[in-house]
Amino acid sequence: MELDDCQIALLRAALDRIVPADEVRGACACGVDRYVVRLLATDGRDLAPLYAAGLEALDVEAQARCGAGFAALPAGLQDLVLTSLETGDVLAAWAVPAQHFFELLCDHAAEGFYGAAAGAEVSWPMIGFPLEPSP
Amino acid sequence: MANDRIPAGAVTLKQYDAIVVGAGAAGGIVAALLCEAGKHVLLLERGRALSFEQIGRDPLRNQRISLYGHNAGPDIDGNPRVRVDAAGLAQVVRPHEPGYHNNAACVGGGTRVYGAQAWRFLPDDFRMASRYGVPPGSSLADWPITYDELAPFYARAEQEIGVAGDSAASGALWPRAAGFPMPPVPPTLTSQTLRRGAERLGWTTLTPPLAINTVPHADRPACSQCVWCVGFGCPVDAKNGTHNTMIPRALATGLCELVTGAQAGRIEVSGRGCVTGVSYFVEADGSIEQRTAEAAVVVVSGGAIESARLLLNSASALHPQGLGNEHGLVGRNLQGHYYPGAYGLMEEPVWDGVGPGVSIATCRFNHGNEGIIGGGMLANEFIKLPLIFRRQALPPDVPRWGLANKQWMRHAYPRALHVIGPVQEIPSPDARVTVDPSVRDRFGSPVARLLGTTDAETVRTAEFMRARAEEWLGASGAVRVWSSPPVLGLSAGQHQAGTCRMGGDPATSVCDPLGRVHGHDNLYVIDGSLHVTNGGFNPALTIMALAFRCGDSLARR
Repeated sequence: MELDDCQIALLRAALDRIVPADEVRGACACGVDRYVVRLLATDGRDLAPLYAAGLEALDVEAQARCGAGFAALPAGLQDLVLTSLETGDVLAAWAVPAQHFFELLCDHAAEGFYGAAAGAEVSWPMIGFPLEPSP
Repeated sequence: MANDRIPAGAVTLKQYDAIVVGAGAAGGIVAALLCEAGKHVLLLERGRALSFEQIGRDPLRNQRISLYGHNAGPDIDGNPRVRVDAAGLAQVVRPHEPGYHNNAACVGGGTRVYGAQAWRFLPDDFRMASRYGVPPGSSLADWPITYDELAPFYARAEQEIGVAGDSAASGALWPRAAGFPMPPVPPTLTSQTLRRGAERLGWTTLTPPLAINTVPHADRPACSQCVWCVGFGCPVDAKNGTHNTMIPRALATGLCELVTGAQAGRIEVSGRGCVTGVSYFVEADGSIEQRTAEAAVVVVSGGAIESARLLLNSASALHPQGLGNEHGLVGRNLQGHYYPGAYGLMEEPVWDGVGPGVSIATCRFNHGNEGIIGGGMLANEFIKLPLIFRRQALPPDVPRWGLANKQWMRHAYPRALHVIGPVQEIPSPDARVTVDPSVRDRFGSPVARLLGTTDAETVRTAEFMRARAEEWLGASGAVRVWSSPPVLGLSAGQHQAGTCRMGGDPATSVCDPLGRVHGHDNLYVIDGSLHVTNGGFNPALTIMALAFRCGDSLARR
């Protein structure tokens, strides 16, 4: 199964808080969203249903906690909602384990930012790891 | 490219003087020694000859982090194992998944992509039971040979594979007749920092010996000091394994037939129970073909897990438990290395981008630790891939997301030190390889089934070594130090050993001190399976030394 457009929009919003922009670009500007979508269509296909349910629940959680959908919230409130996933202290009824879903988001964001080629172009110079393989 | 050095195969014979199963650290050496002594050898390798490009540099699929695949074989599909956990739950695992305990499957085996630390075991590593006594329930035992008997073959391995090390420092810790053929890797900012800390503590340190060209050697260049060493192929062919040393020598004789993509299914025996050859599978044009080759001698060098599996899968009327298994010992005493350690954060950057990275070690804690059986070597880590650092080096109080995590990575990566080392395990007879007839690989052979844990004493030793790692980092000026406690588990993986242990007594060992399987004239196991104990060091050089010793004897037969 594939994520629909609404779910992808939620995913992008969440990823941009997990790896935000600062002096260097954040997640979606480095293709981390494309990495996750591709992962869920290939090696991680078994996780696609969990992601779809988790993203839907994230949106409901935002409504319950802050009165608006997740993508519409300002960054500070988005972080508040994500923190509730991180701690498991959720208000909405979650069909999948909130903390587990959040851990997957963090792990996959890290893979996309520090492992995948598009993310590495930004993150490796950020930490000082050489980008070009030595001859 | 490394595989350009492998010339076209020799003439195919159905009958050979010897069949060697596995072209890894040991099999490559045995094949070369036999061929150079004039024997016709069939060298079977289930993996392929991999080029640098084929191994690649995928940060998500490699020997160090294999999230969705890996880079040195075996194929992800069709090669499962079964892992039984502490609760007795059996799970089918694929080669890149935790619990499979993979090493590699390719020409050169693990040496194609290893970090190439090339340590001798210490004299006391061969006599652990005599030195420390045997914890009840464990299978701690002495080797049937001494360090002195293996020393000439350690020297041969250092010379013929090509090891770079500090001869004077090594000579202070090991009895050794000659020095290393190449000088040690140079100091790094990390080693200088840790050296100062060690001096404050009064600890002697040395540069780890590496099977890497620190100078041009054997018609190949010196190391280019890239940051990708451990877990990957070498871009300039300066990292020494059997794929670029002994196997080309074997092929150059014209007497070695190397068949890749060839998986041994069983060792064939006659009606009288004598080993006659090996039947194996190859895949060509999408179809599977089974072939049988006959030989006067069969040498099994598939690594501790696959070698035990092959013996167990070779049952017959006269050997209903599998070959060499009359006393139920094949597959037992599976060992590897726990790797406790600690991270330290320095005030100033210690990153200099000079690979391979591992550049300082101490052997102070390998033996003689009050109340502890054995111990282990401690060294700084190889240069770490960014994703591995992100996943493994995070202190518990640093958030896993957000600006705080990003800022942590930016600040900590160039300032972090990681000190770790292999702990000498206390083996357990219940840590073992069996075979699972209900789960088969793509050729229909029962797969390896892994169960048990090391003896619990190993956790105490590992905890002791973790504390030493923290001590070293603190003394070196780390502003914070953190680590995780070791956990009891099954150990094997890239340092797998022990499953066909050597000994003089067939009731308590599988092979004699030259690798000959008890009860057979012409069946040998020559690889890490022979190790009675696995030292507090990376085992590759010991595997190679044993291969030189056993192979040398076999070649004279």
